Amino acid sequence: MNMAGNHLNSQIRAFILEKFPLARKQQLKNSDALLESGILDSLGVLDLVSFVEREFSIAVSDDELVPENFHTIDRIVAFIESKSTRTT
Amino acid sequence: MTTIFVRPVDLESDSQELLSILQTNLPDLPHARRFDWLYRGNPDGPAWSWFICEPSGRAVGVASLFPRSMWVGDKREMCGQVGDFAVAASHRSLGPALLLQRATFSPVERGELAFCYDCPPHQAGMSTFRRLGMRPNCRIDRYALPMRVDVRVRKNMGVTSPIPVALGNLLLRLGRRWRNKGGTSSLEVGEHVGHFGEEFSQLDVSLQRANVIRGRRTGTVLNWRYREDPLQRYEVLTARRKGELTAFIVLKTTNQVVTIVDLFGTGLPESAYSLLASVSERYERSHQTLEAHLAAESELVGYFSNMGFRLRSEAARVVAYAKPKSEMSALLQGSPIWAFNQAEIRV
Repeated sequence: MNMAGNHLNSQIRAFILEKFPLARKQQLKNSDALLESGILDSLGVLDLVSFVEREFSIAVSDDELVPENFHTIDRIVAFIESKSTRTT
Repeated sequence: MTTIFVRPVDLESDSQELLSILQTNLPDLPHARRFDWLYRGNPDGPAWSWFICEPSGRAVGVASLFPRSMWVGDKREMCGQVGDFAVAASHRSLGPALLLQRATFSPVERGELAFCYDCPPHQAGMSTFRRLGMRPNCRIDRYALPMRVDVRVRKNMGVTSPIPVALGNLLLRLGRRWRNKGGTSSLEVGEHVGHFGEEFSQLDVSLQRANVIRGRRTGTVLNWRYREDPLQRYEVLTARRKGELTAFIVLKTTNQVVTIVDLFGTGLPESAYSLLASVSERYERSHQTLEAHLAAESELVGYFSNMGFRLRSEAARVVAYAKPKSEMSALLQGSPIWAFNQAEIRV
């Protein structure tokens, strides 16, 4: 992961740790399944998406709200990077 | 980049897959036992259901819409209630739920239903609506009337002596009697056993009111809902004046709690007080609490409060969808009175 990716990763991780108590209870890894583990539910995804849209100035469409984009921290970072690349 | 898709469920050929998803994701109910009754036996029509599927075609979620005949003011309208909404944990990324939620709007878009509504019991259930920019049309609250203190005293105080419990129960009973003292009535209250007949349909027709939205309570609907439900037994009390039906109350009981599922009728202050007093006398020795779910703007709230019921928590919210820019949409946005109780919010 490059430096930008690392920074993104830290921001996403900090947000998840701050907002979702279940994430604090376990040693959250970048590859942990956020949905299956119950760390994120649909309301959590909604909060996360609002954060991502606000923080990184990208728009997330409904059909991008799929598990492959929000399954893990790694996937979220990859998704944001791909969106940023497309808009620059 | 949609990699998932929605498809309609065939209630014949897809029923096992539908039941499997429900049982896995909503395990508290024995879905197979109620499937025929709920999905195919509803007198208002069979359910619409949709799967959310992976690209492979494997279904990972389902939502259903159960037709429901309603009174909207003085008009009978066929509406739909969203229910049995389940998405596999691995797919709770909001997108799949959004697609399903939109699918439940499709019969409304096609003009087959006047509107549909959902009653999310918790904030997480509001996530799709928040994303869609929809707000609740009304709030449903849980009210409770304590009838006994046995469980509370033992749990909170660890007291095992019968004296504080007996004293507490006596005080509660005296309080209810005091509230009921003005409630002497010429109404005859009795248990209704057997089927609901034409008199219930007539009562339903006699009670439409401008700007009020509520479910219809024809004899046919009541029989299906309360006499044919394969999972739940209900008790029904009626209030009559000189033999003529004026109101009825529907109850379900668990070990500790009596839940008022429905209270409906004419001359409500008097008939409501008579029925509620009768229920509390009936169960004050065997159950801890009487409970009811009422829409915030329901006229019943005042009557229940006068009988000692107290607001305990928010139980659900009603979110309705009508075709944009339609008359119904304007009506729903114009703050109608949602005369909802559990009869309308339980699927």
